[in-house]
Amino acid sequence: MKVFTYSENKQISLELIAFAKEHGSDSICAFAADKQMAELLAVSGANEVMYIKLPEGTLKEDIADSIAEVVKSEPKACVLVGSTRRGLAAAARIATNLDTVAISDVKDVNTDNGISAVHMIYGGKLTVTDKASGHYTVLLVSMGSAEPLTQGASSTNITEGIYVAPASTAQVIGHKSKPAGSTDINSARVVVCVGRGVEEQEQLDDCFALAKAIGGVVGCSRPITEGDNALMADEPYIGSSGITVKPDIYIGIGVSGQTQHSMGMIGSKRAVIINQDPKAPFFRKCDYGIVGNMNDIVPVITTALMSVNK
Amino acid sequence: MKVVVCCKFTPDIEDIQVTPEGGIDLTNALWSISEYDLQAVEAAAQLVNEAGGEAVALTICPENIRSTRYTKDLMSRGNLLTFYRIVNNDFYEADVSVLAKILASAVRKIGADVILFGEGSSDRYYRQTGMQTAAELGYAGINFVDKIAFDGDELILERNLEDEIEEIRVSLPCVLSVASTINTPLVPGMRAVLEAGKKPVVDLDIADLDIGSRPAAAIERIRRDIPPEPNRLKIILEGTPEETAAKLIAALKNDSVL
Repeated sequence: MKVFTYSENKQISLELIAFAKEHGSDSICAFAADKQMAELLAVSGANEVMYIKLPEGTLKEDIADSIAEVVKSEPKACVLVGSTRRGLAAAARIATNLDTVAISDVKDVNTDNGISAVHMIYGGKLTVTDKASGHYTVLLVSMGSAEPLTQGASSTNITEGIYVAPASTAQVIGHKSKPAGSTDINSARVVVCVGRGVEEQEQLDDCFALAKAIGGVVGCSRPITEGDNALMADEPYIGSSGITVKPDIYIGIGVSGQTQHSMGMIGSKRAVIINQDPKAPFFRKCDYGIVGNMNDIVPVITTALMSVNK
Repeated sequence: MKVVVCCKFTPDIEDIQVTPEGGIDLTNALWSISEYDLQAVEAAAQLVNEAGGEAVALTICPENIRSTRYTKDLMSRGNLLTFYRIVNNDFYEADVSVLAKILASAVRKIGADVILFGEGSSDRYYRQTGMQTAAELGYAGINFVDKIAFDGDELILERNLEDEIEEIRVSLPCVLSVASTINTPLVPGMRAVLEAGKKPVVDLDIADLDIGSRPAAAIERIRRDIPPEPNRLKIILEGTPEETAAKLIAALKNDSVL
């Protein structure tokens, strides 16, 4: 079956091509909305690269209708879209255009009998396999789905596709930079995760000090990222709907351990939980639990670690 | 200005029981407004406070949501004027294309300049319904909106992307999915709760919408599996903080992870 790929993110674009190849596709058409990306994708394993030039001031996801138009020329096809915030918007538009649904957070794809996608629902309580009823499948795939293929093996042609304007859209009038994401949490050996129980800046500082002493990074669960005065506003949070971490040591501080969150750290080798509430669900899903006030415990562990490291 | 806030009532994920066959049992689940929708309701209130007009709520919900406690909980928030409901037990697990088609046709019937959604729902968190409804309506759809301001007849938005804030100008009508960081929803006061019970509730029937009947499903669920429980030690460390810290470090060293 023909597979189309699209992400505005370079790394994810490369991964999607590799992901399609790993699942047996030998006809991959990669979309790109900028020339440089198209040139990169042309030497990264795609059989075909289609470059769509977007008019000035267009939202990048406005490439969606152009993609759908090309996909429709195939009797059957699968579209892989990188699961970024833009990708979520693009996939919804592509799917609507193809009279289907984009399947979110796809973990795996089966190709035995047509294409079906595996994903988790209800915060990870259930793993489901879904299949499109029609001829087109649209899948949202997150970063890290596959190792990009070695570049330069063989080069493919870049064709310029036609820009199809959406029915209604918006104008991009500016950009503001965002403070760079704190750390590369996906590859961290130790993750200190801050939850709802951490309420003050001083407590947060204690968590950062612990992370530093143990050679780890700080992550968080969802509640602490929300609201307009959140302690860790807009940090990517760990969870089945957020980012997934697989450190050697996970230390949850003031994290209750709701399924939604615990699915995001399920691959951790050892899970340590510090929580004031002995009834927190996380104590039933951890390796080592410490019941108590973080103010009494966290600085002591930090000091002990520093003396061990000396 | 007319604002329609699309809200979902969801069971608490912790209360969802998975049956051995992979079905779901919601018998003991507590339902509430999906957390992310609270920010959309608050955003609607702020829009109407600034521009005048009215904000109404729209939901597709199961029968149990007919209970007045849910009406009061929702309608006490954000100056909402009318509660439009499409009540049908079958829609809880319906796919996004079905929901988007129904919502789009309900929005056309109600009429709206701005249609607001939360970032995603707290039970499924697909983050697709708002954007797919926009596509069904043929309106501009912007997700992860973190700031909304007026400029004449248009809106100026800030959109919170992974690596940048994008500033956008959009004309009406439009569909916005707001980011969970856009505001801190106000907790309704007692008076608002009391008044909420008197607000009009309008039940919409699918037969009365321009789609006429339930749209066909776009997705077939071919397997349901229960993921295995992680194998954890479940050891509670006790003692003074110093003793606990020492025990923890020793244990992690012994496990060869420290």
